[in-house]
Amino acid sequence: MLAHNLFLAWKSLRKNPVLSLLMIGAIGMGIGVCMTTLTVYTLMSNNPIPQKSDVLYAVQLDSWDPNEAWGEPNLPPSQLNWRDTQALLKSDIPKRQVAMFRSGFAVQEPSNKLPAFIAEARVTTRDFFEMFDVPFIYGGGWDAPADRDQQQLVVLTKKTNDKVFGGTDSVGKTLKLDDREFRVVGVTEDWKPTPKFYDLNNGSFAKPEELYVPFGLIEPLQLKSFGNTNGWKPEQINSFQDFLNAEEIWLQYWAELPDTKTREAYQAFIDQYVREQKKLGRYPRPLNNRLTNVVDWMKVNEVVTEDAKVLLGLSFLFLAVCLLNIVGLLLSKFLGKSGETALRRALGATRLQIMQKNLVEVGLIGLLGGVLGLLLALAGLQGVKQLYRNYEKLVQLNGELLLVALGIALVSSLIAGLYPAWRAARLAPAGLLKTQ
Amino acid sequence: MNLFQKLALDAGPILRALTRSRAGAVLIALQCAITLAIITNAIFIIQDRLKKMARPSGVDVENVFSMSVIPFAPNFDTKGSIEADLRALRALPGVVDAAVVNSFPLLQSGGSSMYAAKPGAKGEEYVGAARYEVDAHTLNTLGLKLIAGRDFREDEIRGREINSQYENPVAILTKAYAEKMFPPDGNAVGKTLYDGNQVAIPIVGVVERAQAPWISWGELEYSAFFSNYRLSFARYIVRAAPGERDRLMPQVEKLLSESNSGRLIESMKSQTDIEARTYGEYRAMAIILVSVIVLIVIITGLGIVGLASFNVNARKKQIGTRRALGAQKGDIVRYFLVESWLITTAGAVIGAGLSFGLSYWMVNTFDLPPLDWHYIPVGVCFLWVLGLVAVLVPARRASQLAPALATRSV
Amino acid sequence: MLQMTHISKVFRTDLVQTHALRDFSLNVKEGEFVAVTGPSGSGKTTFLNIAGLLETFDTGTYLLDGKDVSHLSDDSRSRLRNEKIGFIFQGFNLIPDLSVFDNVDVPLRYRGFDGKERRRRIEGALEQVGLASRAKHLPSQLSGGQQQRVAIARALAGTPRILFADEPTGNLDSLMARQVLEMLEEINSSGTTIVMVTHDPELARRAHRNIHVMDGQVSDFTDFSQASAARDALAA
Ligand SMILES: Nc1ncnc2c1ncn2[C@@H]1O[C@H](COP(=O)(O)OP(=O)(O)O)[C@@H](O)[C@H]1O
Ligand SMILES: [Mg+2]
Repeated sequence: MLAHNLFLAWKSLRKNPVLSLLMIGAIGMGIGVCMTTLTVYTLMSNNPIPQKSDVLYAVQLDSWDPNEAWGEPNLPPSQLNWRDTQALLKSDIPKRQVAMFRSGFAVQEPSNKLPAFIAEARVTTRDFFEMFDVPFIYGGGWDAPADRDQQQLVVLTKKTNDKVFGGTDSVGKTLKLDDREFRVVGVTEDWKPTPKFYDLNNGSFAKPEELYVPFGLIEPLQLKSFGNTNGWKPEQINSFQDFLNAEEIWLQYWAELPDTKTREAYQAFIDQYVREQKKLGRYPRPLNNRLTNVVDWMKVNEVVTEDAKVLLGLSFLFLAVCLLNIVGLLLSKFLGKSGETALRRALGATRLQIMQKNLVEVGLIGLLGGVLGLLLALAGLQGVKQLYRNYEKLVQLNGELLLVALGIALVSSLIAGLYPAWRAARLAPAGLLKTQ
Repeated sequence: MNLFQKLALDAGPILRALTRSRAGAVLIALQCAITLAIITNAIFIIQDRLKKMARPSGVDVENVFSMSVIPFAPNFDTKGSIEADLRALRALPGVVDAAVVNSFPLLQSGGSSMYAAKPGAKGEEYVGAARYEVDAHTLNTLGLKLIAGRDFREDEIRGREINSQYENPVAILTKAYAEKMFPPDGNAVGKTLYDGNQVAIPIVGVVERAQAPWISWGELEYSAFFSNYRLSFARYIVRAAPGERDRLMPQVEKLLSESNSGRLIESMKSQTDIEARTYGEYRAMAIILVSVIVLIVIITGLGIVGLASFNVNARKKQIGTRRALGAQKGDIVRYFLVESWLITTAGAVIGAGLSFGLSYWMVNTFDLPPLDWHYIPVGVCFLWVLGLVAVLVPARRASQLAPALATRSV
Repeated sequence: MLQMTHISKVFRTDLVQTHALRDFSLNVKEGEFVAVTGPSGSGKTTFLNIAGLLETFDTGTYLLDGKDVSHLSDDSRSRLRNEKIGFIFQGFNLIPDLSVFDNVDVPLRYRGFDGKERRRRIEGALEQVGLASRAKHLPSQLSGGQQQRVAIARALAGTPRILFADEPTGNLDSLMARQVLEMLEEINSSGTTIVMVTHDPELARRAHRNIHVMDGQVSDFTDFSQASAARDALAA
């Protein structure tokens, strides 16, 4: 029966090619536009580290201006100053914790064959790699002392290792960063958390750093931030040490808190720390320290752009227009064929059978429209890629979205077809024959 | 009878007929309504973006290019290197001027500070401005227009390490910032600006306009220039003679990378590229919205064509009868036009409400300004035209049907 | 009133040519009631369409109300139909989405009467066919006979000089058919010329004159006007 209905549906589509193309085109465009925006949206709101997103917490201390919050509604600043990170790092409550910032170096390979090039670097404490599940090809991270003392060690990413050492195991070899010798301790696999949740300051979809160096180097090498530095009060800064002791915020801080008890203990710890600082005349604002997990952190920092949300909303309205369009066309089509329907009814077809026949036709349209929609979505995503250069890796269609596209196409076209199919099936057989 | 009266006369019975077999008409009307809501809001957003993109930055965009300078060798003579580089740049044929700055309009990275117009000011008396730390060639290189006072003199320029105080700085403000700090007329020349550390900074000039580096900054034209440039995180800006920029850029890159190996020259970009990148998302949004509008107009237009065609087929007998009863071809065309007009108008009424509803949602959910009501009548007119144009072909086909259809069975 | 001489009409399709009318000549006088009979496919409807200016013909001349209508533009033919001609169809041809009132209104709007005049005429015409109380009904809410009476009212409202009816009783049972015929006779008696196609010989006999069409030609005249006059005289 289904085969027969499919055959009839195909014949019916062929009989009215312009109308059929119009309907397939309409649903295809609706799906295409929706899938494009939905893909961008889902990838933007992607959970970059699903296995740990509920145990990793961004640490915020409200060290800001007494007269004005950092952000509305009463948000504490998203970064910390140097002094506070030094104090927090002493706590042993978190299972792991990192203080870090984005910097950069001029890289020279040992033989000086390549011209020097600038590489973005992350200056971080050692827990970074284990805490964020960074995979290694060779070696690993550095040991704890490097987070405090001057040890010129470096972890390279695969890309940098390929560039400088031709992809060989470079652990133990040296290279020059800003004309100083650094020893390679590890090489990471390609690792591109999207969005770059651990540091959203310079674009949520910025590319990852090209190498990592220990936190202990900040003071001796006077490492400067390539990221954002913000302050709220005028301070006399005449030296690097002044800068380190200032209220200027420029460091990201994350803690791994595996359970509620630990989290509460840690919250109590940072609150206690801030209370003590208040006694010293710092922290003029009311207590407002926060631990925010990865997913909430991305929400607070509006990783999904407003434009993406607006476009998603508009594209579903667009799909609604396409569906209304199809309902109208199907209604005309089925009612236009009321003669044939009446004949079938007179020859003994039940309403249900007529419904089935019509719905098979609608489903076929939906399926074809879905396929067209997928092609259009691919084209649309190419377009998005062209338009938003820095979202490049955002924009790829995966199998899951593929199924979603076909699903939406089929379901929405069936919903669109239900009313016309029902209207057509409801027509009384006798009445139709008479008006012929 | 003039055409208008004829149209008005037709409307009554067509409307009554429409209310009887309404499914198709309701669907088209709803489609028109949503289309109107999408179009008005999309055009509004597009307009908003285009307006923002059209704001002049103050810079001679076509002829300026820039690069960052990254010294890395220890004990590197940064100041000497910068001075030598700038001398070499200025000597290049085709270069109008070159300067060293920390940032410039549209760069999307830079710094801002709070300043007050008097010493010992309180919190609210401080007003933020984008902080440009520059040399005496900057105004000329960027192509900024001095409208009061004078440019910096060479002897006022100092090179400053990042964590150090200003050394005898003087300032040039933008007109917008000058007017904010010294209301009402913004006569700032000869007055003094105070930073948070109570350093007094004499103001020597006012430029017409220079945007802050960040386009989303609230007070886009609050900027101030200071006569101390920075030794780290410095950028060179170069202004080429008209038409010379593209020739100069690779030449400059080669010249600088060969002349000194203790520092790197990075991200050499024309100001045109920087502007395009900075406004990239605005432009992308505008393009996507335009595509959405085009697609939805096509879909809705074709929907109207499709439905009208079906109506023509379904009403062959009726059309023949009307012709038999004395309808001229024009009457038949008019019938379909009026019908379409009525449907789109119904859609427009619902759509106007929907447009504001959508706008209301967007204003509340996002950081968007509310829809300007002017967009509604414009959108409605557009919808009318769309409805009439889309129905024209089927209507003409209807008018070509033979009157004899009235007596022949179809 | 209606003067056709040597009219011919050929329908050409891809496969065949049909000579629907050949050398067709006919005279209908003002005030006459003529019935046209003939077998199916003989050309009755074609004749009626040409006479009613719904179709053009290939050769011959046709004077309507003394005027040559062979070379009129489409628009002038529309205007003539609207002003001088009324139609009654076998299938009633009422517009299903319009009320009885609006249906009768259709030709009047094309005529350009003002609202008051249209209302007067519609109400008068509906009164005449006995359907004044049904003005707000939709066609689907009426019986076949009532629908045909609405169609007659629609034809009458424009006060035509000549009325063409193609099998007006074809879709009606005999009782309703007689009612409709009586109505036509009444209209005729007030001076309107009527040309009616029918296949019912009994109805045809009640016309003044019968024209039998065969293969697109007039094959036979039967003039009842004298006979009925004689019958009237006998009855008296
Ligand atoms: N539009 C047309 N195209 C082709 N042939 C037609 C057309 N209309 C009528 N005919 C043919 O012309 C002949 C006369 O038709 P018609 O006048 O309708 O006959 P009647 O009304 O007497 O039954 C028939 O053979 C019919 O098939
Ligand atoms: Mg016939």
